[in-house]
Amino acid sequence: MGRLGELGLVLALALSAYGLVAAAVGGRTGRPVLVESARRTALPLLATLVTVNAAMLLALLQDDFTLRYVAENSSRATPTFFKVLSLWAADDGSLLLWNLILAGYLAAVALRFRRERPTTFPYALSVLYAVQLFYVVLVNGPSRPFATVPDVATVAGAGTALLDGRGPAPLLQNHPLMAVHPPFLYLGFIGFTVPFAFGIAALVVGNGSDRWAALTRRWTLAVWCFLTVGLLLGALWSYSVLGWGGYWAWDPVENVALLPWLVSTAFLHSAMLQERRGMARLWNVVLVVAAFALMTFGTFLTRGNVLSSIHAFAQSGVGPAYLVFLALVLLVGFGLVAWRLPTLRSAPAIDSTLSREAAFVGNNVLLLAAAAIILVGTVFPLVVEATTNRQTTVGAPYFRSALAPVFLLLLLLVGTAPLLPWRAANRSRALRRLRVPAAAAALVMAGSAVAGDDKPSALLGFGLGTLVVVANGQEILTGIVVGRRSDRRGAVAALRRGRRRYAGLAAHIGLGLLAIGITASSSFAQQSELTLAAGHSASFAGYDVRYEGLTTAQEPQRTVLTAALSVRGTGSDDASVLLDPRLNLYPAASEPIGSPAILHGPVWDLYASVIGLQDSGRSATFRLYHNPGVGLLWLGGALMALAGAAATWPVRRRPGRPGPTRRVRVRSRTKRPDRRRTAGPTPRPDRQPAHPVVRTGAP
Amino acid sequence: MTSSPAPARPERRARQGTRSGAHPGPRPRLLGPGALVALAIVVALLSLAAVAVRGANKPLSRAEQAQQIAAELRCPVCQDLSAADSPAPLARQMRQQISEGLAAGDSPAAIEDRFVAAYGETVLLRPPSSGPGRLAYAVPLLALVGAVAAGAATLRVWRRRSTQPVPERAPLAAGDRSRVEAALDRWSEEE
Amino acid sequence: MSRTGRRAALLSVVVVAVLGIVALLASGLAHDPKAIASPLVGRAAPDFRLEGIHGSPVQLSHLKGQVVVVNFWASWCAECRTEQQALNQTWSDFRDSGVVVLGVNFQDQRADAEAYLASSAVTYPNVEDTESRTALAYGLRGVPETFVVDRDGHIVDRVIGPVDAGRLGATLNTLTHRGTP
Repeated sequence: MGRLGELGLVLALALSAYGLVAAAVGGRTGRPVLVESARRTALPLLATLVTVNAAMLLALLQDDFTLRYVAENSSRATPTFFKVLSLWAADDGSLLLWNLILAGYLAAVALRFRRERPTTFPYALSVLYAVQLFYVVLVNGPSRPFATVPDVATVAGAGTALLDGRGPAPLLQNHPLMAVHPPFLYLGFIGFTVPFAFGIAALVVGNGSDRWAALTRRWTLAVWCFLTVGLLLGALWSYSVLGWGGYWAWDPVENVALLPWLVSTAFLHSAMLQERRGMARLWNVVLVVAAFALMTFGTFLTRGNVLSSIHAFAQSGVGPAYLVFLALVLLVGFGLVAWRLPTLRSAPAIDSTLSREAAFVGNNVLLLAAAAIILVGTVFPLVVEATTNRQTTVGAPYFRSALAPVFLLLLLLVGTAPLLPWRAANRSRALRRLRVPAAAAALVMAGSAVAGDDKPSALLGFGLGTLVVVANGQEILTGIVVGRRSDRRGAVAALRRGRRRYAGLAAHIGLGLLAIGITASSSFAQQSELTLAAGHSASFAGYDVRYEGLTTAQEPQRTVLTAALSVRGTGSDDASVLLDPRLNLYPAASEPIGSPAILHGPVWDLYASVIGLQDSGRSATFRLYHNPGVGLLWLGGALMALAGAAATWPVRRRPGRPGPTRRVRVRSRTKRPDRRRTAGPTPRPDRQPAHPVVRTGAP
Repeated sequence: MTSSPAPARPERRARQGTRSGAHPGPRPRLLGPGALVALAIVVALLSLAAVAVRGANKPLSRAEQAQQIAAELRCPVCQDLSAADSPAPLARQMRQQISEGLAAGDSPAAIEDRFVAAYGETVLLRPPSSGPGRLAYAVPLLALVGAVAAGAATLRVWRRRSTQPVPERAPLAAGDRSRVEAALDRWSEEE
Repeated sequence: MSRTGRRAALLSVVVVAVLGIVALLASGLAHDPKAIASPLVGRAAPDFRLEGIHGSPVQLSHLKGQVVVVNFWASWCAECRTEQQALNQTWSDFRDSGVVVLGVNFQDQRADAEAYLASSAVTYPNVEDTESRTALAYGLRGVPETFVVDRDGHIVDRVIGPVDAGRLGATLNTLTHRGTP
């Protein structure tokens, strides 16, 4: 298996090098045959990397402990499910998956452009192969996933295996979420290669075409969805595994994963400026280059063993290689931007500071401010130590208070900007559309002030979150109502036609719910530490909590100690619910790994983890949490991801009817009402439709 | 839902030919859409002020105070979690020492100092406000001010470029115009 | 400025910025994120009085005049086993030169600790830090961690992770004025 894997990696090296050269030369010399051959190389490359990953998977499943990776990350007792997961449980193996996903993106690009050939295509393909080449080089030298166990190989020949492996890190085999969190995160991270490649290609070609933004917007949207899901699953993993009742620790690696998300969110908005108005061309390239560079920076921090973090991969020797790659990305990306700056500059003009365009500027500067704060805060200890030799920590309390104003301003923007039309808003119309959301927000704030809230930041979070939900919800409702009346085919057709806009509004609603959930859980969580003897009970957050005693179960790979709690409301007829927080003893771990028990509710969660046992379990110490709003957080996050997916999903155009995209374009070119104002007064200027949907009558 | 004929709204006349939403002339209705929004803002600000005053004057219980101190300290045996959050036994003992310190009448600063003496400044989850750590506190301020300034400057430049009326790139065809009018009619019926 | 001049200026800004970032990150690569300096080195060792696991209680300040090697350990700690040989060696080499090796048991069960001591032939005194007060006073970040206290009661060295017999021996030689053997 190891041989096959190593052979495959060498083949992948050759294929990506060929693709890189063929695409670049083909583009440069105008030989489409070469470009086509480079395009076709994507499939064999993908097949090779599938084989390589399959080889590692098979080695894991067959307990082939001649391979160092298998010996260190799997064991005979590891359940099959977690053996599969071991593929990405450590640095070397996860790089194989990384390569596979990148090759998958490459093949998808190759497939997408099998007929259509924008001028940027050869260079974009070339950049994709270049990135792939780097990651393939990484697994051919600095990291060697198929290395054999040294003494076995030299002493007894490659045929003899160790008797058993060490097994995966206990924390990583303790919860099934490990099956989905890393792959989604990788899909999100690696996907930034595609917009990056097209951005670089646009800079190389340098003809100022706006096509690339339209070409990459959907890719970026898909990647954004993956990253959103990956981050959410990471938060869910932290919440369900680490037993601390929280979901986001502002750990350096969480921070650097959030950076490309913030920057790509900025791009998704400013790309619309370019698509619709031809503005911000260079800026958009800067954003995609920045997103990719930040992703590379994140992998460097995570795998280069630079900052200490729960995610840090132990003893990884690939740090310098990542650093060189990061330097190349920054030099090529921003060097090209600097090179093209004098020629590619557009001269954007807007009609009003009260317009969608201006709102997008606000969105971009605020998202980038948040990214800048997180970036500087994360590297701050490095900077201080490099310059003054003093050691500092920049942790959660810092990030929370530093980011709160920026995020609150963003919420304010998300709750008002979607009410603004392109070009110029009519102020009184905008105010009229703001009535309901503003009133709702004020009511919520007044209500929670009366209810006894004593945290101003929480009050603002609730109020602005409400503003976001109501304002964006109102826009969708208006669209449905007006669409149903104005379109013979009804509201669904109207919704489908404005799919991108409604998906955006729905994502905003998701963000609002997320914000409310985060505010509630970070401001009003209750926690308590209780030591209970078996059969005794105590009260917590209005519940009666009783320790039922310890049970022990032996599983092949671990011993599970379950300290059962029964929880009942204080009412006499309330039924009791069983919570079963556990401690898991793995032979490889010195300390037990806890598994909290969570009672998920729509408004609040009840969360229990056992943190200590006394007298062989006759008494136990628990941490109990009453967490409001966590369910809302998952709901909001899921809504964001779903909305993104809905906007990404390709729609088949029915023959004989103009497709949705066409219609949008027709509408925006000829029927934008604010144009009429400059064309001369019209009979009823204030009756400009507030909503784009109404502007298209039935065909 | 056929509404009674709405009184002529002031902005309908005011808007003729003006660029932005200035409202010259007398306003027949006292409560325009702006008034409601303004009222909402006033209510929101009043609630905020009330809550801020209440929060500032609220006496903290000893447990809350201990929780606050622990949240600022890093749990030394775990990654990235505070002593308040961490389920590790050593974090539990840190919380216990904090409570004991408070019970003995120590100030929060004195309690923090004891941990700093043993662990160094890295035990503080916020960089210290003296020495190079101070710079960390300038960052969010600079980022926010920089962002607002950059945004405002961009908008100013973009706005200045369009002092002339936007040229009509695609004049409305007669058919389009009638369709727009028809759609607008439907819109006004619905509103 | 001409177009080429502006280009050159912009490009050099990019190059300088990238070099700065790379230099900073390279400095990060060079250091170990887990090596955090202890502020206690050079200061007076925090005093403690702890119950002995086998013998009588030990108070650090009563050992003044002797060099004390304070070793935090636990029975559940795998790395502690790897350093046990070095500690036993140090104890037998230096016990007659005014050096005390003192094990401080950290977050353990009494029975487990006793079993560990019996199985690893430890003869130096061991005490029990039941509520981790001593660990917190010494800024402990994990086990094993070892502090060397000189005759005046000042901490002169701290080792995170297993001790190295050679390095520990050299430190003790200097402190006990035995010179290199």
